[in-house]
Amino acid sequence: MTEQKDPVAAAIDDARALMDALIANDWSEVHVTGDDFAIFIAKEDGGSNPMLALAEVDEPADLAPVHPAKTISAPHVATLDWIAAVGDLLEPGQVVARLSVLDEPSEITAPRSGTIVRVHASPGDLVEFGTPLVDLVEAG
Amino acid sequence: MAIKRLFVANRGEIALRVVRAAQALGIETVVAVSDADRDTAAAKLADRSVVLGPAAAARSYLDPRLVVHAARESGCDGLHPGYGFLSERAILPQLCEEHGIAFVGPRPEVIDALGDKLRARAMAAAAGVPLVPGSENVASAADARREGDRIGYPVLLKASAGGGGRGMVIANNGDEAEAGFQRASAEAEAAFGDGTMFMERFVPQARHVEVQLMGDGQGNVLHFGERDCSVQRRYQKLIEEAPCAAMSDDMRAKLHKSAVDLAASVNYRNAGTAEFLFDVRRQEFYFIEVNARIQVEHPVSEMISGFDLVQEQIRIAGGAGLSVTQDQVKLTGHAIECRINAEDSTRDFMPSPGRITRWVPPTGEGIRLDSHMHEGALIPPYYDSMVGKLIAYGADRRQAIERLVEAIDSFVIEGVPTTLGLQRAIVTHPDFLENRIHTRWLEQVLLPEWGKEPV
Repeated sequence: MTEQKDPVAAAIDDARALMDALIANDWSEVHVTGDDFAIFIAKEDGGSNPMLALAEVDEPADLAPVHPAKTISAPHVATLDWIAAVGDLLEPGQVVARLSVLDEPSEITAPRSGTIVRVHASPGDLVEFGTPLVDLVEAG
Repeated sequence: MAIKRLFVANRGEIALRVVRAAQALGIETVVAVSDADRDTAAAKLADRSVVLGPAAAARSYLDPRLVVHAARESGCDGLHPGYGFLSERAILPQLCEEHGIAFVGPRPEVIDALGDKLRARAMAAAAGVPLVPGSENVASAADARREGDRIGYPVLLKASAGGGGRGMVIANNGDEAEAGFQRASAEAEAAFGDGTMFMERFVPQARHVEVQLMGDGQGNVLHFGERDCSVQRRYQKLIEEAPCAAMSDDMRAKLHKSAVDLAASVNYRNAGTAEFLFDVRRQEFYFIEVNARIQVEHPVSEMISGFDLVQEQIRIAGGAGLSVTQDQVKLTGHAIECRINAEDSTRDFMPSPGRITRWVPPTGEGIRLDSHMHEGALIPPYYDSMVGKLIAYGADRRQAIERLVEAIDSFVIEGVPTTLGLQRAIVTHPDFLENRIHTRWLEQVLLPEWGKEPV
């Protein structure tokens, strides 16, 4: 099927794309968590690292992310033909992923403008109803 | 050519049944599920499950493109449609053919032809199969009166595009025939998009008798005996048995021959059931329709023949011929099945989905339970309310009934109401024991008394 990307290389690419997004959107910090990783990037005058705060404090800190990410999932079983990349900036209605069912194509579009901060699936995957596709951080 | 990986395009007990049959043949299985069925027994037992869509059947099990896409992309070379859902929609085998997947069932043209009641009747007539005295295309109220007068009242007006008892009206005289035609044709147009009507003699005390068939698609067709499914409520079967103890051996042989002749005339492939109306008074049977799929009540035929029909379906779909000859099909004993629904029979059979808090199935000689349920399982509200089928087999009808009653008495299901209490009352009723029942018996005789006495 699809080649598995080296996870270290993938993490570096994601971090680089998030850095680009931080600069492009003029954020002061961005915090993205996944199943097996978390990235926190901040400018000098940005907020403090919530991951450090967790380690120091006894009670759980208020972990409301600065910009909450929304997951866009597959609406039905389909083959994933194309998917946006981490760092892509999207307008509402812009294509996030291309699916096909029995070779008939359809598109998943962004509900609002935002930035892709995580990609969960790869072209060639058979996605099912509810399979996460991307995480989108909505603008402003 | 033999199937290596089978896609199961259905849910509930039949999905589990098909997975088990495939596993017995050493075939891998992939089960289609909706979002509501991710944790069902079939999904857990199969090698893999694929979530087609949300819970709504229309966006999952009933979407042929999603079904075939999932089958193709999960590497399946065969597909079993179960019963209900898309099992008699020609689009499913058509898409399977287009994408190199062997469909476990008849060819699409045969499904289409048999699904049209008028065409099916014409095919039966051509094969020499007796039809209910009736008339073709009744196109006006005046036609309805004239044909009713000719056939003899009472008559039944039926929608050609209807099914499952929908779109039917009884007329007892010419006036009722005219008025009934107007009403029924308009309803049929609204419900099925087709107002074509036909008319047949109404038999007040009929038995529903059907023949289990299996064809190889080359003109060879076997039968596995008949079933009597006369205990019905609103045309839905509650109890089925094999064989039909109300028919003489001679009559049975004629019935089997008619069914086989009809199926052979269309080179029928795979499993099917020919349904007939048996007029007990006149001792005549008439063809009604063919169901071009495996049916809910197939287990009773399996019990009296010792033959696994679903495994045979899968083998034939993989290109094999019939594995036995008619002489090798030996039918012995008697089997009775209860369709157990999660319905409150004291509240007009209101479907009552919920969680099963206690489930202690019966065991014993001759007892078979086809069910996907277990303690803690949730019956979803999106589909039918069937929780399983309880089948009892005995050397004769009396013993089958005894074993069935014992099994019902020891079967514990808590958390949802079920039809088991009603079914016990049915099989212990003198009319059932003496086998005096007919298709309106449940609604006319037992149900009016039901729920009036303390259970």
